[in-house]
Amino acid sequence: MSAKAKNRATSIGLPLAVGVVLVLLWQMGVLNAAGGLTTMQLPLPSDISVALVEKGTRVISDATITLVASLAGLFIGCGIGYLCAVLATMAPRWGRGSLTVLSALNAVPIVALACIMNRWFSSAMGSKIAVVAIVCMATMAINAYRGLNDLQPFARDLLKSYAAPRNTEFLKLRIPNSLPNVFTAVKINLVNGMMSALISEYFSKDTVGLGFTIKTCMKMGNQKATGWAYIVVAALLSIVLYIVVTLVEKRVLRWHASHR
Amino acid sequence: MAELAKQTASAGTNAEILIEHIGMTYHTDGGEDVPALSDVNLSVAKGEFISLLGPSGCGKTTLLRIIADLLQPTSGKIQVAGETPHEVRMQKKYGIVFQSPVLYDWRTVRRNIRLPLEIMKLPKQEQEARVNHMLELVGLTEFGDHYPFELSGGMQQRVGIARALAINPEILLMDEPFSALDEFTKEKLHEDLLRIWRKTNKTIVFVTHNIAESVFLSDRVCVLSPHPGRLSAIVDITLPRPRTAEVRSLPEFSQLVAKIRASFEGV
Repeated sequence: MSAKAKNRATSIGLPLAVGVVLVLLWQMGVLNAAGGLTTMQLPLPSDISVALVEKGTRVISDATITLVASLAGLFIGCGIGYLCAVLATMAPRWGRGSLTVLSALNAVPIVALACIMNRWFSSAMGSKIAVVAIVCMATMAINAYRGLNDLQPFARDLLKSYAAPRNTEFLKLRIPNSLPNVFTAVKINLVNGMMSALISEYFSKDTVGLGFTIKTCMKMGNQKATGWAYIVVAALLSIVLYIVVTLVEKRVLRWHASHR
Repeated sequence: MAELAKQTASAGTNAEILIEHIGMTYHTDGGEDVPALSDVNLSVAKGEFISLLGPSGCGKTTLLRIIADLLQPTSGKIQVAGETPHEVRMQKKYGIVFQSPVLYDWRTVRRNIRLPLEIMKLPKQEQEARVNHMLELVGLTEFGDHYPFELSGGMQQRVGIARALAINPEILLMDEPFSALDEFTKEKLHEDLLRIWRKTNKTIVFVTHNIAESVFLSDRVCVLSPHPGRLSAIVDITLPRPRTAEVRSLPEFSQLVAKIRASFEGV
């Protein structure tokens, strides 16, 4: 037990220590010197912090917009993806085709998707949500399909021997069996979805959101520190969401091999 | 008691399971016909413990799956308590224990045993009472709230047995349930199974490839031979009951094992 705690301390402490050292070196100008970068090209952490505090309320409202877009897109995309996996399981003959279509859709670059969705949706928020949703669908569909169908031997025979109806097979066997895969897909999609939301904001008609502001500030000479402040916020947001999902997963999947 | 049951069984009347001229042929993708079972005749009495013994490929599991209505035979007739296997399955009168415990990882021991009771939509209190009774029967009362991964292989298979018995089936079908366990655990479970059988009076059909196992457990051992799978001998096991570990060292035990082994010679 104590060995486990120790293990955990090093697995969290070590990366944290490296991070702190890196920020300190950056603040002392070592990174800039090493890369031959001016503070215009790479602002110091202190300048970034000041910009973050100064633009506090604006940062929060921009972050909220991006967060809402990526979470809504994540929710819709994962929902559609899971539904496709269920359909493919129920009717393999044409259901599998839908998985192929989703995978093909996944190959379309986000940049192209963002431009297309801007044309399709009158609201900027709508187009962002659509981009994120499309990006999330395939990952969820393919992972969930595996979870719904990779059953242990005899698991279905067992239900059949009790003359269980088809919906019981889904509710009591296939769906719980797919949960580990669902969490894997959500974790991948969380990070990808956030990135897609940021990128689609580059091309958005709206003048709000983390992505839009990062793009705008990076173009302006005197706003570089603000741009970096937004990058930090975007990164933190992804990390926090990821940690939240991991904690939920640990609680829900206590029985799974990965948490033993 | 067992003697009487056997007589009625051999007379062919009131047999719990009556198998007549059962044949099973698998069709491969290449259009080839592979005979798995040919012309099997067998009658099992109510409350009898019968083993289907044979090397792999002899069709013993196929025969069990036909009784369980998980497979349809290509020829012959089978009756279980005067009904078709399908009718019996629909009435939830089969309890099956598979080669692996087939526990659902996300359910605790208690909830795994409860699974068939949920499917039967029994009242909650009744479910709870039956689960407690089953946990006691297989000696796992303290482990009810554990997850499968926290149990040893032997304990997991005990849960499998408890789940099969929870619905109070007429017939218990066991498909090499102990083949993955070590020798010590296996022998312990053999005695446990006989104790449970004595208490519950179920008809048990037990598939195995282990001669000593079939001799220790059964009233009769049905010897199956491969290519194609067929019933080649039925051996009465006259060892006294209740059987405990000492039975294994009786000369009769070794004689029966030798006799059955001899029936495989030249196969």
